[in-house]
Amino acid sequence: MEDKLDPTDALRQIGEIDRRIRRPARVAGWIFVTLGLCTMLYWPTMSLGPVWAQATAGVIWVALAVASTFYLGAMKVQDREVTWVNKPTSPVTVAYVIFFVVTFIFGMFFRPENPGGGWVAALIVLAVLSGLPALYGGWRILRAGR
Amino acid sequence: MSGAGSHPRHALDDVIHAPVRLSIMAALSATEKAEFRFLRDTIEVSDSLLSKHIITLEEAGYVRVEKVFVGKRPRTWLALTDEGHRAFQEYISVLRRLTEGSPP
Repeated sequence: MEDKLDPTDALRQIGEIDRRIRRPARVAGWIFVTLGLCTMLYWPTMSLGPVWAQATAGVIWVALAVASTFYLGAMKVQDREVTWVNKPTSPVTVAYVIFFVVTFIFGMFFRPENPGGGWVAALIVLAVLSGLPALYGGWRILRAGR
Repeated sequence: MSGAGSHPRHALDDVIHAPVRLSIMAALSATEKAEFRFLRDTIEVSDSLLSKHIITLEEAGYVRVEKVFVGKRPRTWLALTDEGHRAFQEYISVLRRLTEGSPP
């Protein structure tokens, strides 16, 4: 195990180890991307979809939240970008919570009896904004992993 | 360092330039910190071999070892020190000089 390395082999080994060690962070990155996309679909479904779709969206959202919390908590490697994105005070978390609350209030308390085109468009804009922070967080993690 | 000659290979850090220690340094340089067992499985070595090389790197001032308890279970986290990061960057630049300067 103490054999000396050829410089080319050493560089190759560094690349291989780098790829392996970043695997959990890449999974975390994809979790954030999935969370962002699901959030974008969640709000229109909850406000405009049929009951079965609302129930499915609710179950998927809770399952995703629980799975991602467990995965991120059990990671045996601490990645700078994942730590930054996942921090309670990070811009990603703060923006996600703010847009989540705003969209929830808009969908719950400002929904007209028969939603018109303007209201639906506003809801979709808010839904996209709700998902963007998580999408950005995932993109940052995946970009760092190259 | 392995010698005082002018060829770039003499600038290769002997502490890092060994397969297991290189793997440890490469792994820890790519992350903030890693748990002992995760590192062991990632670089595919035994507990004892990893421990032995961690001690060498710790003595060189390149690796920091942090032991914590999660409930009653001990957990060992490993991270590169600032000196370790600097040494690894220097090591990579020497490797690049060597590979770029070598004939095809």
